Amino acid sequence: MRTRLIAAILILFSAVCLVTPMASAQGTIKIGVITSLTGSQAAFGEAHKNGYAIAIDEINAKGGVLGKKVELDFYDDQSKPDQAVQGVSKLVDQDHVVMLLGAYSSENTKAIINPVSTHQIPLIIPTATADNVMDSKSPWVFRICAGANDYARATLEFLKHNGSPKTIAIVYEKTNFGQANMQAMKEQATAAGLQVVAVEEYEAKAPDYKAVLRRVKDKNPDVVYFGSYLLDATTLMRQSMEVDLNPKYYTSAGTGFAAAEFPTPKGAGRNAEFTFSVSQWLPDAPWPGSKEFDAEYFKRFNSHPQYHAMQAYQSLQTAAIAITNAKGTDAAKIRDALKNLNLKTSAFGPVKFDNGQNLHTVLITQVQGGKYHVVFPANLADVKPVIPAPRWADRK
Amino acid sequence: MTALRGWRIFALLGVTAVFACLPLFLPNDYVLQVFFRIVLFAALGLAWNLVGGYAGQLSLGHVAYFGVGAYGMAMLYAHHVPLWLSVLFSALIATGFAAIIGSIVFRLRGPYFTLSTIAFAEVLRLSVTNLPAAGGAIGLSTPALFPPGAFWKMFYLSAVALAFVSFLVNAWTSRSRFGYYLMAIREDEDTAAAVGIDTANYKLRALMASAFLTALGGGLYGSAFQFIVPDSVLSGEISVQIAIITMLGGAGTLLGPVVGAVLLLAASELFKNKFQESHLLTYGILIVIVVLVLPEGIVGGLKQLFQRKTKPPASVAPLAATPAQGGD
Repeated sequence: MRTRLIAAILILFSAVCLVTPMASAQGTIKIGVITSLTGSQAAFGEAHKNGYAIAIDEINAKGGVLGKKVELDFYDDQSKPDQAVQGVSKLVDQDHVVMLLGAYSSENTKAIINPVSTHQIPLIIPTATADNVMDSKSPWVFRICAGANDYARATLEFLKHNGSPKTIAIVYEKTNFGQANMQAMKEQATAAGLQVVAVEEYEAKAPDYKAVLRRVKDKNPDVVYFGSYLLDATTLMRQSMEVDLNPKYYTSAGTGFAAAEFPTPKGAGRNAEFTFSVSQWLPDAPWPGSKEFDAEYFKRFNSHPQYHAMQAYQSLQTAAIAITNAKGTDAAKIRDALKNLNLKTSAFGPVKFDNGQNLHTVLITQVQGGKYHVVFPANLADVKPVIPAPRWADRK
Repeated sequence: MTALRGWRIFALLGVTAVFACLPLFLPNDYVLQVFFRIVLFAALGLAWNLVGGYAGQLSLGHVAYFGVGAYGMAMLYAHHVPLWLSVLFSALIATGFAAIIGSIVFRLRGPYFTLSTIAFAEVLRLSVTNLPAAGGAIGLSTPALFPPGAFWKMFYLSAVALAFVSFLVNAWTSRSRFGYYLMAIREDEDTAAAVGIDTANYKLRALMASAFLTALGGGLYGSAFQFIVPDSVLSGEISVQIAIITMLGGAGTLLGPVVGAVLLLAASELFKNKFQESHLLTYGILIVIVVLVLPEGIVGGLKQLFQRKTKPPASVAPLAATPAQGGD
């Protein structure tokens, strides 16, 4: 009985400790970040966090913005859209951040567009590729990454210049991200004269995709185009081997197929070999600052960054530039500064928003020897693509 | 209403009044949102308590009614049903849905019952995910029940109202013939049937009442966040959260769900802001401590503690404080 009392007191005590508000430094500029630090998208939230960490240190090392230190205020949306909405309110109403960066997934980002617009606070979207996040045409929303339509266009362009295959199968996870990429590819492939022979959806949390992959195999497509997150991408490639699915090209809409872990033993390992992916950025990208970012990232986190980290990094850098250009933290002035921004070059390439959308060049990469290499466009490529992908029986 | 005599009714009114006044003093919308969630989940916990607490039927599929409330509201409104009527209708649809589900799953007992509630909720989630009319996986924008000005204040007050109604239903249940039947079913279903209680019928009634209240909560929640996807309002996590809140606070007690909601949701939000990624660990440890130290839930445990002190230890544990899992 005494232990119960002690426990009750302990719980109460810890609760009281927690309620005491966190002291916030005066004279700083606070930028709010919503991302998925926990939940099913936590791997990407981690990449975000690392990218932001490097950017904030660089900015503050140079003396901050407008002579003040920049401070990041994170809100974990737990990979849930309603939590992301709550995050907008927490960061804006309570913490009074001057602008927002986030969220990670297309789903969560779509959910926060409305509250961002009603709060009249500028938002930079680092990674949400579904094009419906830009549907609202809200003047407060700026997206730094390329979208699903750009992915499909770049992939088809690559295929056209590399063997011009005739048939394609689309396999996608059915949240906003996967559906958007499926739609974009289906429309553009048909327009480009490719025959879409199979469109298969799956549930990202499901443990088994063999039925889906067998149906694809029956259609014997030249190309398979995946729209997948990380865990499903890993399983898809392992099970592609198991069902002996042998298209000439494994292509994908990035994300899971472009995650740092994917070509490593932590991800799909050797099954990842020869898969193509769209990519928004690579350490080898020919933009000033790319290699430096990669080196710094590796030094700190002991792994090479993928584009999600870079997009977070560049979102924060862009935010800092916009606040500097706005000469203050007034929301409308920052918004206008973002509208008028014209960065000729950055570690993520040129940044210029057209109706809120950054006009970004999409790269095509291929996993070769456990690493991502740029294979397209030709002027940015560092290796030649391996086509067709060897049959599973011939690998090892 | 015999349960609400004397000081109890004043205490109840007082607590409700204090809660309802809080929004006037809260510094901003964020804190209001957190309070909205706490009170809403207290209401959901109370609704669940009818089935999971008094009747002792461990349902882990209550998100089905919650989701029907949210989706029903959004879809009926899209078909030109007036806003508040669509909230009410969707709650009625959920009640009907509960009647159908209940008449099937209440033939099962124990773990089989629990599994089948999970299965029904999962079937619903998958159906909605694949239903283009419901927005599929991309989700639906939901209509706002209140104008932007006092948006969260009104949502908060609605949640308080819902929690109050749910509390009254619980209070009545705890002292009515209906409630005694449910408790008899919880303690021993065969004996209850043997003494002439129509067990299937009473369990079904409890579930329907519970579903109605849960769906109202779903409608509020869906509208408050203005955007719903199957993963947010039909996810199994919500079922589990509702059950955990009630069991941790004390299943089958009046105040248990309220205490559980306050403790768990406040802790979740505070830990999140304080510890970043490690918040789930902290949250988990808190749950483990409570489960180990107070297996009957906080309210149930404290009740027992209090009664043991005032009565000689030889006394038999009172009915209300015995754990809910004694069903079969």
